[in-house]
Amino acid sequence: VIDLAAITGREMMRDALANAMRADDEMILFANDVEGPQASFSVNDGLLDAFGPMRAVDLKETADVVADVAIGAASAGMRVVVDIGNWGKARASLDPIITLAADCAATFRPASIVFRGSNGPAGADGLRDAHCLASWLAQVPGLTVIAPASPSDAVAGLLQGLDATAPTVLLEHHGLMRMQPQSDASGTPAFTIGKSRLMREGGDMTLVSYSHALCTILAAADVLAEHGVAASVLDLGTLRPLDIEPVVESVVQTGRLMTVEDAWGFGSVGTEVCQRVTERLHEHLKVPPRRLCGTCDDSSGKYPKPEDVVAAAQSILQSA
Amino acid sequence: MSVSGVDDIGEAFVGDRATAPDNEALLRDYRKMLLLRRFEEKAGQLFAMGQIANAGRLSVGQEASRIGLCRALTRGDPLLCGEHALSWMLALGMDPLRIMVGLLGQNGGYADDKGGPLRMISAEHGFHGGQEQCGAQVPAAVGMALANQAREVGVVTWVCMDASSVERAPVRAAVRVARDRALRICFVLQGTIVGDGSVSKASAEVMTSLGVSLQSVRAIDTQGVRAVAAKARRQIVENEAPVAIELLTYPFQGHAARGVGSDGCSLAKSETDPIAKARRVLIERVGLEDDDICALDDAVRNEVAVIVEQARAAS
Repeated sequence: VIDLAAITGREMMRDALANAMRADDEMILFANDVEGPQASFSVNDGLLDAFGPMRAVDLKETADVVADVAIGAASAGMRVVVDIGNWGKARASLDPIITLAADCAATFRPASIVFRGSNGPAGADGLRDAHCLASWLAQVPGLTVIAPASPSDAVAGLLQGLDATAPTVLLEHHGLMRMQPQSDASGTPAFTIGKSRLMREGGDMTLVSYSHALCTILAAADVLAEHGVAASVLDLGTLRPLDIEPVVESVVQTGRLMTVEDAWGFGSVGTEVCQRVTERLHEHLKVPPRRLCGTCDDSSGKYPKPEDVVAAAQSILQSA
Repeated sequence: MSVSGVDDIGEAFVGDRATAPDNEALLRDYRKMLLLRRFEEKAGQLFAMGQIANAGRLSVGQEASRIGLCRALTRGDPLLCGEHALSWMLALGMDPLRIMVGLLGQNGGYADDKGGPLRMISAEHGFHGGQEQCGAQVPAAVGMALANQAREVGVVTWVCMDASSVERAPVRAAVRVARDRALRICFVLQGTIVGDGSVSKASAEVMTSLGVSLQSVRAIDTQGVRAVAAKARRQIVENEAPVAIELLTYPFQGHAARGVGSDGCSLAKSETDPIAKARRVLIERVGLEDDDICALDDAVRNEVAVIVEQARAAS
């Protein structure tokens, strides 16, 4: 029995990786830096000792080709996890992910490969690394793109991605691996690739998010409830393929929609959700859909806080 | 004919009666080279007529290097290439009809309804695809070799590329991974001999600087290329280290976008065109008459015409 109080998402992910590698000799891990500072969240600690350099492959001397080489191993039929490090610094890896992995999977060659790494704006890091690649990658045919909101969702995404035949991208928020698994809301539906989840039901408005911003809107929904506002909260979970139906069903009931995300607003996932809902439910909407996004107006990125969501929600309710 | 700094194994081989191939092998390779050329010429025509969305890059003049190298592969050896996918698929023995069906974008071909030579793979034949982006197949091939090393599968991975690809940083990085991890992989560079007979040494210098030995050979003779590739394979297995070979051909319309004899090349076609050279050998050594050669050529042309007809009917 795992004592969830004693571990964080980091240990949970490490154990999931180790168990998957133990269960399948055909599974292999690639990383820029398996156990060093470039690894995302130090999740791989101990894997080099446990599985050796043939299965925990460290390519720190040639980091720019880690994704390319890993895709080759997946093409040979291996199940592959690639620790991409920080997605904001991994743009050299986007080329092979798009041209080799996604294009091939979309056309002719299935591959069980998961690219995982830390993602998203983090004010403390400054703007240079503070890139959320959610909407960038969600545009690419052939990819499955997951933005988990909790450690257990991340683990579920990893394992389900390894069982899939399309390349999977796991965008793990900076804070995710420091969270404790028990912070997952109990009684919520299990994470499933390609399924949005209704996390909380209410008839006044629909709040939609993904990744860490889900915590923001759940906290905001608590405050709104104290003010007598019942909000539905939906977690997209998977950004590609995007499961819009639960969002549509909720907006039919509430007539109000707000998307909340840490990413910048231009061409964002929230923009896509608002557009799809507007196309389908123009006559049901009491007010235009609203997006609350991260900004990059000054030297560090800023992303929505619960109080921002509450203020925006109250503004929407006052307008209609 | 010899080119400065390049092993002229083709000539040496033909001149060595003791180890020379039998007549049947010469005929078989000649016929296969004809199939590659006629098939690619037809694909080029169909592309020009707008009936094929993408024919990739053709390999006219490189037929001997394709067929010779594939004859040295052991069953299970994976091969990856760049844009010149058509010729490699044919040389590996993939079904020409299914290739043509795939090119035409019909169901039932290697590419199903996706079309184009870069959408085709056949694990059964060891063909793991061509890549449009220059050199992109090299890191992927290294990953494949790494996977096979982890599995302790004794195959050798072959990755074919334009010689200039080694200038690209991802290619060099991938070569370093192969060297550091002692992978069983052969880097096959396709180089060009320009009109005055000179060869750029840039690629060889890059590979040497990366610690991978490279042998450059003039590749207009299938049996000679086979011998070089077989030797490279033995070295890779015995030394547990990657090896590079550079297969040099003359610029032909199709793979180098220049006609034979351009840039002041004064060589006879039988010295630069692998098919013309093989034809000369068949006449001089095997005793074939011009009529026999014409009959062979007609038979292959007819075979390709039938393939196109059947492929069109496959929709």
